[in-house]
Amino acid sequence: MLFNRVVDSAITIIMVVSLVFVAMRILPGDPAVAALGEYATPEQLAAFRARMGLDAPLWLQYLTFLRDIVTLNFGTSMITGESIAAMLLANLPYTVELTVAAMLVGMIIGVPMGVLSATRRGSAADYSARVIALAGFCVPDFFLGALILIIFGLKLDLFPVMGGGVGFADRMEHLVLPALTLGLVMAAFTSRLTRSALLEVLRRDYIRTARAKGVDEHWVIYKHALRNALIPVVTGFGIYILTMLSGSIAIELIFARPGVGSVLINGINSRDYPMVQAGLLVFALFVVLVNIAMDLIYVLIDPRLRRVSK
Amino acid sequence: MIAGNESIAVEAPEQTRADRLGAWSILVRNPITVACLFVIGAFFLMAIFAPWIAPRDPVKQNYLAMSQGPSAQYWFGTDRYGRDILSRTIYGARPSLALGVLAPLLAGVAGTIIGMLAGYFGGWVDRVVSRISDVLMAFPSLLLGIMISAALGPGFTNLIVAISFAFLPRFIRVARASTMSIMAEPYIDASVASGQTWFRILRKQILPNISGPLIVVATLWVATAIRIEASLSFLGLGTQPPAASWGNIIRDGLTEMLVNPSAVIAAGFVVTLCVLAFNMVGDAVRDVLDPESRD
Repeated sequence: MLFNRVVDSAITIIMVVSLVFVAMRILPGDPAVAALGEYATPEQLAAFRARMGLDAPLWLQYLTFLRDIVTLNFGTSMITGESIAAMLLANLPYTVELTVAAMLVGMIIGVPMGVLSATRRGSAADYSARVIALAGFCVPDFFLGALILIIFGLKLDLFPVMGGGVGFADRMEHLVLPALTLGLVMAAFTSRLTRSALLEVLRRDYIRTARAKGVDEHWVIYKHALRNALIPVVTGFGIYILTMLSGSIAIELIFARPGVGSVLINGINSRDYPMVQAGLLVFALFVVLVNIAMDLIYVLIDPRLRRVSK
Repeated sequence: MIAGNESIAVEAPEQTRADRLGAWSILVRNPITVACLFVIGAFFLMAIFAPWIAPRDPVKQNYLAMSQGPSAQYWFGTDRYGRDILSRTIYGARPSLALGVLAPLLAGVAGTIIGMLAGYFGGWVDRVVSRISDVLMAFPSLLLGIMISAALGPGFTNLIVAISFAFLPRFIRVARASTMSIMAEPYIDASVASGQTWFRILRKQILPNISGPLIVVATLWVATAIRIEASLSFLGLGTQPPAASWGNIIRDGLTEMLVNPSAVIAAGFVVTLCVLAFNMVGDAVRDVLDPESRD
């Protein structure tokens, strides 16, 4: 079974990596023109193609591309000449800490809000929780970030608003506002999901049985219902992580934070072709790895899946 | 809600024209839905008649009126090039709504065709299509949109391609699943036995029966399309300045947010309102056409 999954994941990784190749080389839009601008001379374009290996036949480019990925050779930035692999490695921790912190904030706010909303269905608390959840979907994360930056960073001057910080304490301080922004978006999803899952579970027979036996209502909700209701919340983790990851790109821009997203956006803005390609690869691999990890976690937490796949 | 959308699976209810007309009357019974429909109507009017409504040229720079706060002359103030934010916000409705309608429409048409073919023929066609759409489904649509526009480069056409492609797997999945459930119906066997071509069966028998869930999916994705357009324009990947879009107004406004936050607040509020209205209507349409998915 494990062997099958490994083969499956390998196929998926090759597919995703190939999609990035297709997107960068075969889709309309000449990378040489994109990098050098419309007014580049034919000689400049030819020199660029030779330097990037874009004049080789496609199959050879593809093989070189795969070899470079396996050896983690992402080339050097066309602008600064720095090693892209080193740059990504330096930026990765900032994106990871933001994503993890946002997940935590989202769970801490979202789950209790969902529980409150489901257990007091139709009350003012339920109503406001649902309005907040709806707002969390409708307010674009970058607008929310800008508002939080204006209010907490500039008007109240409570937290630093620029950069990623140096040293642990400073870094955590710089993390507060970006994590709060993404965390609020995440809390909206979590509370919505917790609410509907809990309502669903509270309708089940075993809850009625527990209540009929005279079990304390708090015990029914927290011990019997919430545990089961949290299964869809936990299994949704993969989607959340990736949603937070895509949100982090805009948040990094607002708070001028370092991170993989800002590497990608800088690459696009400065038409740094190898940097864009490397940035895309990192995000693509992130998605694949999170999904593989989630697949494994499902199998670990749900014994039924183990039996089926045998 | 994104999380909800990512995993949408709508079963195919039998839909007739009368059913759908009935659905419309249920839809307009809810005052909130009606209010949202009015808001959407107002946004469309604003986009279409922007040149007549906007008090000034949205791209004209005025160095005598740079970075001004709100005033009687400039309701939402001006940006650092002296452009009128109110006019830019009004014109910003154009790319947002065009994309909000076009991206789900294109993705819907292409996804329906691909999904129906996969569901009808099965075999290796289905395996290849399902495999590719499964892999693409793993990407949040915003991330996929960012990645594709990063590869294609900025611009409106590329933006439509990027967002439509980001939505494509969702439509393929629904069209495929609905087609497969219809394929089990005896009338399909009858059509095959009577010698009808596959093209005719797909067009006459299957398409009318799977259109309900696909309409639901399409309306649910309009709000997301508008939000993604704003995000991509904010990141500098979407609508390119000097042309106005809500996302790039916020991006431009960031640099002078300290002295003049009116641009960020105005454009941000308008995107929020627009997404909210489309989202409420999308949810209402889903509740009417597919009541089981309600919470």
